[in-house]
Amino acid sequence: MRSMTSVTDHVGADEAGQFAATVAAIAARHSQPDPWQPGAAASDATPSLEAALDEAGWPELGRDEALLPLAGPAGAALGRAFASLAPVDGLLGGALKVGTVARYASAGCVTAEPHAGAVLAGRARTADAAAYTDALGVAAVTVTDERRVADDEARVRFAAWAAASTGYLAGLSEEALRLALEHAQSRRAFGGPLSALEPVQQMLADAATLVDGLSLLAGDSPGLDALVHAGEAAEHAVGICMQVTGALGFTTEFPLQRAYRRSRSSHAWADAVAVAWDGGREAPS
Amino acid sequence: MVSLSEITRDADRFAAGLAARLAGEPDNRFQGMPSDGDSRAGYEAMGAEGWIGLHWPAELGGRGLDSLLTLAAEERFGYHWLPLSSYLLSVKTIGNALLDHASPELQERLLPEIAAGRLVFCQGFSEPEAGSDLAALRTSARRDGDRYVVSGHKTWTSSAQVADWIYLAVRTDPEASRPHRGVSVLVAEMGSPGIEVRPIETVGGGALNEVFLDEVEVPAEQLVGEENGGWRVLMSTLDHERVTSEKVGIVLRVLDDLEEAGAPTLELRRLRGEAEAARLLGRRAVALLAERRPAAAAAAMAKLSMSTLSKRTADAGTRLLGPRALVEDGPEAIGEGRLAGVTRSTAGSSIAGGASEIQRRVIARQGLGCAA
Repeated sequence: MRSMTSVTDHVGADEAGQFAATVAAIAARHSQPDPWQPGAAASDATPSLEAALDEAGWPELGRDEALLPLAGPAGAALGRAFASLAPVDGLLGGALKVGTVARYASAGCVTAEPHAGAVLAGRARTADAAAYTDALGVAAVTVTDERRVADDEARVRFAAWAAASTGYLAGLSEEALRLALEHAQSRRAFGGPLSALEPVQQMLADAATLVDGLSLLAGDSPGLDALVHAGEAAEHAVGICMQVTGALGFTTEFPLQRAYRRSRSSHAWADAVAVAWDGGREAPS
Repeated sequence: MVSLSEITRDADRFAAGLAARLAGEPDNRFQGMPSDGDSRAGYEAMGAEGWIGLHWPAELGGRGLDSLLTLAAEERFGYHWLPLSSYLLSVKTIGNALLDHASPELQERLLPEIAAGRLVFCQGFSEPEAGSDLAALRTSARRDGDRYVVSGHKTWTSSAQVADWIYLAVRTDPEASRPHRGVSVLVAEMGSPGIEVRPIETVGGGALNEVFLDEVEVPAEQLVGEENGGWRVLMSTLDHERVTSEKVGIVLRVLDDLEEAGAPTLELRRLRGEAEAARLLGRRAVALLAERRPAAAAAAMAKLSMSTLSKRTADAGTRLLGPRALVEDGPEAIGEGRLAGVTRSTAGSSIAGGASEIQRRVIARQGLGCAA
């Protein structure tokens, strides 16, 4: 029988909310324009954001198991701001690597590759930045000095990363839905707002149901199951938001495309990480 | 005070034991969705062993617990494949609605009997020409002194063949300015002269029913809520019905069956994550209902997420396991036929209790503020 997780085992909801508010304020202060364009090998890593989060105690999420309930809401605050994912990956203690590629990677950096219930820690001997659909600083890497870390520390780091990643996707989807709703309520067609049209309402209801589910998961110490669902659900919800915003959503000047690309990349990475964590023998479908 | 983990453990133990005792009942062998199955013995055992009305007041036969504990118990009932239709109608839907809207006298008369597992309700809402458009209902209730005289035709009525009472949506004012303003809710004994039940077999493996009402006399004190004020009662009743927490358990059971049959871990993780989200959407709706706050959009999300998940689970079973997924019985069956049964029955889960399109409309209009 699978146990039901309690909403707050160790820390109160207030504490999680307060820390998330701190993260939201930091993310707003250090938000930067989208560095990505088609064909670019771009990274949205933001050193000032990471420094401010370090000062606010962000790295503790990856060290103290009792803080797990804070990770989801804090990740959601970053997602809502369409902020860099680098602080989330930082919880792992190295650049997240799956197979031949790693995120936010550069030559000489520490890498962290989930594998069979442990993390393979290594160092990037080479890192060739790749043009990528998302500004994740993706590089093809070769790794040396690889060792398997299966201790409690690695487990806590991985749990914090999974919770914060799920939260990030929740926040990202919330913001995408907000943008789509705002558009649907202001844009007029057929003599009224788009949001009065039944087909548009039906689509938005599906997106909202997925988004609310993700937001509730973010506040419930989400694990790897939740993250695997979140990748697909965020991609689906943001895809609906793209459809509702029409051609506007398809432009690089409208912010929704950032959520569109990030939800797609996150789905791919979440699935790949889960497969690797489970032993790596299944091909992602 | 009983904790969530204690009630979950106790409910799990009770449901596993009851499921074993009911295993020989032939009526439910090919009932694909246990939430649609009926067992008088099962319902009586739930009442006798204190599992009905966990959050109802003690003076009405309940245990006075938090309604989130009821939700957790219902999930375990689903997981162990208990035939739950009588329970879901009499307790989760109508019992809870009576607690919200019925007169104290009616509550005292009905709720302790339900809690004891002695009284089964069915729900007469849909009619041949009123389903998703419920306000079009035509079954009439004419006031005649201290009673109503009810005539009409209800359909798709689950559990009418076993029910002792029926919870009826009726039209009391045919002249009302808008259709939903002339609607009321009555409760009537199924043994009343003029009521006739005709079963309709379904692909799910059980039966729905038609209920014919011909000049049925119902005492006026069996009105629930105000005369012509029934629409609010109906909508609130549907809010309770739409938190289908038992289906979270049903899906988790099928996922365990899929795991045992060797389905890939990634897809099981994805569906288990989705089940966690559906569970939390249900908890949110129930918390709102317990506080008597507006819950329509939250309940619709709980319902929509759950019917989507049921279908996706069935689809995954077929996609991952191939033709074997549809074997219903014998050594090749997945989970003793549970997967095949759910796959066959899941088409009903996006129709009963309000079609998914109606859930989406409620979410968009009442939850997102989209104009009508």
